[in-house]
Amino acid sequence: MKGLDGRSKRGKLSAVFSRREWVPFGLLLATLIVSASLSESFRDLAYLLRTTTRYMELGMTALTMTLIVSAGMIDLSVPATMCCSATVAALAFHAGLPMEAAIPLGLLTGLACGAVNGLLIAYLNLPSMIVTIGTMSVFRGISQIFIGDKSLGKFPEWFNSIEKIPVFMIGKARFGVTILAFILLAFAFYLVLHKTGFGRKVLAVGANEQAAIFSSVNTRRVKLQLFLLSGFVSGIAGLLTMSRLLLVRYDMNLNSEIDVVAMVLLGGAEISGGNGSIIGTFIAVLLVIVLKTGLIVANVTSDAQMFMMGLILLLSIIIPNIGKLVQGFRDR
Amino acid sequence: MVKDAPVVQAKGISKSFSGVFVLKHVDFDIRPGEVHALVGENGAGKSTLMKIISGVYQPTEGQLLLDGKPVRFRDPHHAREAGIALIHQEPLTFQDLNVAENLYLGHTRSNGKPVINWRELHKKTDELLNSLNVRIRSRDSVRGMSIADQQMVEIACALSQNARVIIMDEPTAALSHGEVKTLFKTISRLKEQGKAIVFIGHRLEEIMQIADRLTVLRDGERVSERMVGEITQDDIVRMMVGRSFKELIVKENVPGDVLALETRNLTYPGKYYDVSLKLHKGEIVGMSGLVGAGRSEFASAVFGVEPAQSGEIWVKGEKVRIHNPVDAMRHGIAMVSEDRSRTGLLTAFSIRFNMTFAILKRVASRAGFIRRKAEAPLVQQYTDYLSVRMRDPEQTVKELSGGNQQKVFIAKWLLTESDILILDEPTRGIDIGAKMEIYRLISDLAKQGKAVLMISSELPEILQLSDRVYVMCEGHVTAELTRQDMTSEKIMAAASTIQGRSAGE
Amino acid sequence: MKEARRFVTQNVKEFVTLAFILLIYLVAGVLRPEVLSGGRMAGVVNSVLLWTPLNLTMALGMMMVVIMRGIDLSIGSNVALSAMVAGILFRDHGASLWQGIVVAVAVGAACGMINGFLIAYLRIPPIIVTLGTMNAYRGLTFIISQGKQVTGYELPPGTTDFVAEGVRLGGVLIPWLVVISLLLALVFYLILKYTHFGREVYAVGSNREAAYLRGINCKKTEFLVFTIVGALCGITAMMSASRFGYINPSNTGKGLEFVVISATIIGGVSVNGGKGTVVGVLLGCLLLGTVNTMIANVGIPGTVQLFTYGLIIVTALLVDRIVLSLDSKRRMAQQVAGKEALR
Repeated sequence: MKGLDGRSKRGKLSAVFSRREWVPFGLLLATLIVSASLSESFRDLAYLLRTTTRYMELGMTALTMTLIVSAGMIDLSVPATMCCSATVAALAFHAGLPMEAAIPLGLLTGLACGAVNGLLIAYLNLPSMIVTIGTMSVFRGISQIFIGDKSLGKFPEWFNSIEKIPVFMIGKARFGVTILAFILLAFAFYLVLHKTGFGRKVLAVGANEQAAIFSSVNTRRVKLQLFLLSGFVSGIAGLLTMSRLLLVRYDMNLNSEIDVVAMVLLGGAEISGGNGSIIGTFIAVLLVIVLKTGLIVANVTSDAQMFMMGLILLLSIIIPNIGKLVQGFRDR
Repeated sequence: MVKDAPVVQAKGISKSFSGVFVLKHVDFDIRPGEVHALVGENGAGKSTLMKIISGVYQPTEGQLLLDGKPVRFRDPHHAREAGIALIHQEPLTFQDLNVAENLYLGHTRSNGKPVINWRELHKKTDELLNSLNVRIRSRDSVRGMSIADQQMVEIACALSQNARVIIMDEPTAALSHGEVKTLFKTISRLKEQGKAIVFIGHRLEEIMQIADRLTVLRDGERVSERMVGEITQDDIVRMMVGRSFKELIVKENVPGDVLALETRNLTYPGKYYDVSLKLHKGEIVGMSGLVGAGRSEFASAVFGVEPAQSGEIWVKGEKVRIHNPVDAMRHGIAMVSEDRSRTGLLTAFSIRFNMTFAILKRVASRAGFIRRKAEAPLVQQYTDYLSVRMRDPEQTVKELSGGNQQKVFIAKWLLTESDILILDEPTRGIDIGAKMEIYRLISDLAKQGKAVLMISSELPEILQLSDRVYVMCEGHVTAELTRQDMTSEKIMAAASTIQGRSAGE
Repeated sequence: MKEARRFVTQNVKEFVTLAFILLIYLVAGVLRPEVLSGGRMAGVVNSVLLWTPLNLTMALGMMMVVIMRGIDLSIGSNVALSAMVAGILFRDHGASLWQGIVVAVAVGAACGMINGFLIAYLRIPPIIVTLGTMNAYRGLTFIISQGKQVTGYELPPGTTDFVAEGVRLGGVLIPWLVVISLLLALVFYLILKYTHFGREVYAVGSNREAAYLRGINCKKTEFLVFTIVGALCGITAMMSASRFGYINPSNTGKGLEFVVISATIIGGVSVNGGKGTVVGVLLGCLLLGTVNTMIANVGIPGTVQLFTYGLIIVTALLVDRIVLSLDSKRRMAQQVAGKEALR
């Protein structure tokens, strides 16, 4: 149960093995082995990459969510922000703007959504969960107001299916824009959370906000920055989703906030804050991808994988805490 | 006085936390119809002893006797059932519920019926409150009640559980003297009813007034047990302070006359009023007073945690505005706060993480990345300077002893190279060895030219270290004493007196 | 007069919610006077009434959870699972309606117990547990139903009577569903106000440490609360089958948790625990129901509904914060004044 940075290490080797990331990693290996043994196509990297792109978009937002959860908060409005940003970009395009101008507008919308959340949470001291339950309806509502039950599409050719643009190939396996963006973002966020002063402030806000304030950290600003970041990354993810789907509807990624949170918690972040791992989340995103797509290929029904998702989430929390459980029975 | 048999006897109680003994073979008797005061400096072991008697802790050695029979309390609830109630300094009440519910929830279930007979409960509650002669009513909501009233609710709760022993941990700390008067009337009434009372306190006048018997603890040992009628306040002070601090404390600084920090009429209604203070370079200024006198609140105003509502702060001859700790740090003010684990250190993180947490800018590159190469030597330098005993800088702070945690905490602020240091209870809860090291450090820092404001409830360290001392009582500065005319008697008197009146009256 | 003022200050939240509801009617009346006319009014009331029962029933449970500083995200899935188990019994085994109800409540309670066990006895944060079981229960629903829905024909006769029939009050038909949920609200009102268990829920949420010291079994209370929420899920499951006339593995109970949490919070249940009343929650549900109904009736396009809905949640939060901070300022001023007077 040691985090990445600033936590104790008893010798390098045992430090490596006591890392929280082993739980999702073990689960990932297990599901991979099971799926690969059940299905031929699951051993094909090219196929895997082709089918998993759509989860990478949510995976990106799981990275920012890791930071937010590390700071002791939660952002349930992420998919709604994605939807809202995509909607604004699409509207701007259909209002006559070139796509090149509509994209920054979409990203700005993401930032604006993040700013709304951040201001309410950081400066009015409202609980993040309830605030984002509310803004989740507001943001998606905006999208619904403007496009109703219809869909907006017919984007310029270059914008469609950006994720299919191969950046490089390994054999037949195509590493597209989205996959690489996810990996790059993961690396960037790894640096931010574990190697920068900002990352330390984030962890401190989550571990003990009072102590952070007394250490002259502007905790409100840190919180606002986190939500701005979350909004911005959601904007990127929303635009990528729109590009992949070739259109935007108001129900884009409806109900997937839970998936994002699950990825983060699977990755070993503590919901009470103070501990989060980008590597863990990265592995957890892969794990969710394998569960969601791999098991379909392996002829495991989508119903069963949902059940397993829940089970695995619970297991990943229970396994590292077995020691605490005995104690848990005793005290209050 | 009738010599009744003790209700509770503690025999040879010792308690150690991670190898450090905070109580050593202490005997303590609690008799019905008697108020037994327990006094001693902070860290003398008073609270630990009471927590053992009320079942919060288990003794490492020794035995508890209840009515002469050995007993071992599993948990505080068990002790409560046996009739021992601990009234906390911060009352443990249900803010969202009314008085009757606060009294009876939890232990009325014994009648076996699931439904509460409210009429009966309210009647019983009001009867009980009447017998205590307080103006609280059973339907009142606890939220918004004063601390004094909440204490009454807790006392009433203890009585409703048929408590025979009521332990009060510094009950008067946050009360005004009018409220203290009411409390003492209640205590006398309880005494008449044959309850056994343990009274922990700092204000000696109060103890002389209310207590029958007195036990003095020092460094975890019982120094003395006497009847209050046989002794004077001076005797108590001598027994509490006891050891000769003079030899332990090295003081080498010479105060300069360059003004480092000045406050003018800082006021926060309800917390502190018109606090004006001067602090020079190279000077150690003590701030004495009882818990709840407003000293820490004043300090957090200077450090910007909760700014004062009116008044001015001047740093090095310039008027400054301090809205938050970021401003304070920019003006060269550092504060080692009172509560290490709540507002000081991130105990789950490493020593290295904590020590450089306030100077992230200095150890980070322009892009914000932490440079290990810049960080490691600083950590090394300061852990050496303060001789922090640790395995390595990656060890988590919570694995360290209190004294070493405190050193890390101080080091964290020394690293900011601030010129003004506010130390709030710098030696609370640490052992004597670490205390001496911290005293030496404080003296050394002042010698280097830093201005030190030391808030402390321990008289010896105030007396030995400070060049000047301000004494606060109920939010007001009641005395400013120079090194020549500071005595424990004068400080004690000023700490419990406001404008010629005693706080206990 | 003094009593009346005290009554108002002690129930500020409820009055604010009530004012909100009246405001919506007022605005609706101004925008479209005909909505509040005799003929339409009955329709409006009926549609508010039909929106309310499922959410109210669930909100009663959620309220207890939130009072104890917890949260239950699994209720929607639990409703689906309990409904589906009963539905399969109806379809494949010809179970009667009453047998189905008993089974649904039992399944719901069992699911609640699992949550309660993990949360109360294993000390895993409620949000994680219920996030996990939310997936697990929904998945299980798919597995046992093999993805197929139980249609109206397969439900026992009389299932939908609970919507179509009811008590007639003046010109308005109050469907049985509404009557049942109101009765439940009454029962919970009594439980929370007059039983040891009910008051202990508040005590544990208000100050767990103090509750423990007074000998309240916090874990058992927490476990029981989640079990009760589970049982309510079973009841809601049958209500849902009656109201919608089918049981669908993916639609039944979908998104219920967010609506219910919103209603609970709007109804004045504090996320910091210890506070909340049945009346407040009832008003919270009525408010959301009114919003949903009026938006349609006033002629605001349905597409604005989600937005308005979110806006109201955020507004309610802000009002809550403002009322609270005004209240604490008033209290502090009183205390300072009191202290000064004593000097």
